[in-house]
Amino acid sequence: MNLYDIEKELYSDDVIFTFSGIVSYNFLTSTSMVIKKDLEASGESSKRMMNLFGITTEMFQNIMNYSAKRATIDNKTLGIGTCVIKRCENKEYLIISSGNIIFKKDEDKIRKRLDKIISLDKDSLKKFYKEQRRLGSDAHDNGAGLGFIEMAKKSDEKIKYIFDDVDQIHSYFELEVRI
Amino acid sequence: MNNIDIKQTEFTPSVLFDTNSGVVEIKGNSLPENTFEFYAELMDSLKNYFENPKDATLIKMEINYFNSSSSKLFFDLFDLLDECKDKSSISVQWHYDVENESMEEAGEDFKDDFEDLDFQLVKK
Repeated sequence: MNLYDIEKELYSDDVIFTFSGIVSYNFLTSTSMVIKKDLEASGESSKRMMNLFGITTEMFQNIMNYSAKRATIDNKTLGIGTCVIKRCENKEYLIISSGNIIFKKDEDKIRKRLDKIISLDKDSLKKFYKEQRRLGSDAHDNGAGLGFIEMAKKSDEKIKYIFDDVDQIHSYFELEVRI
Repeated sequence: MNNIDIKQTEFTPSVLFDTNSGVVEIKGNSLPENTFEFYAELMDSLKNYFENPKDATLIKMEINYFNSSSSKLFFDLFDLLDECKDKSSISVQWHYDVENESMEEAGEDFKDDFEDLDFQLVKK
């Protein structure tokens, strides 16, 4: 395959963004802002794109902070993962997905949290968010516990997730949010 | 006591704390690399300030966007103010753009959470 073929696959009318690699803070903020501005320029509402920005930054931060596959750059350890944004079903939806390797032992904790979030309607989600914020269990955990709820609040549909086996101690965690 | 004067960047807010007038201003986007580190100086200074505060304290916030860890941090900030409300007459002003519904909603949520604080929503 030549590079042009690869480019057409990774960036097209339907595939807005594809990335796989090391996620740093500067990368995640500036990339999320560029995607937002690119889609605004193509006519998307700025309110919807603010939600997209919120979702991509939370996803990238999850990869950066929690991916089990890591690299050390300038004495900082950064997560490695994947993020894809696609248009689907007559361009009605944007599907934002992120994936990264996790330790199998963390699967239950993530599953429990996401199942709880998925079971809630919008009003209960808002209540749950405020309750979790008050509890402060994540004060020293970069606030990631709130991140999933934040994504769900910004989405029009239920968030989806899957775990795939990688090896005896690792799984691949994939998260999908639609707006 | 030391004043704070942190300049605004694209993804972090300006943070001003004038301890002589008892005014804190936070303005911009709040998406720091490490939220708790970024606001540590302000939180520490406020804790010191409330040992011997001015009669009135004003917290003026004008945020366009904040991430989930900033949401937790702001909650902790308001919680600290709530604990100190008998030591100084504290007002919080949450400024938001009329078109920014999510910041309006965020302000309302904080106001609900801190019923005993003088928490004002100010439309721009």
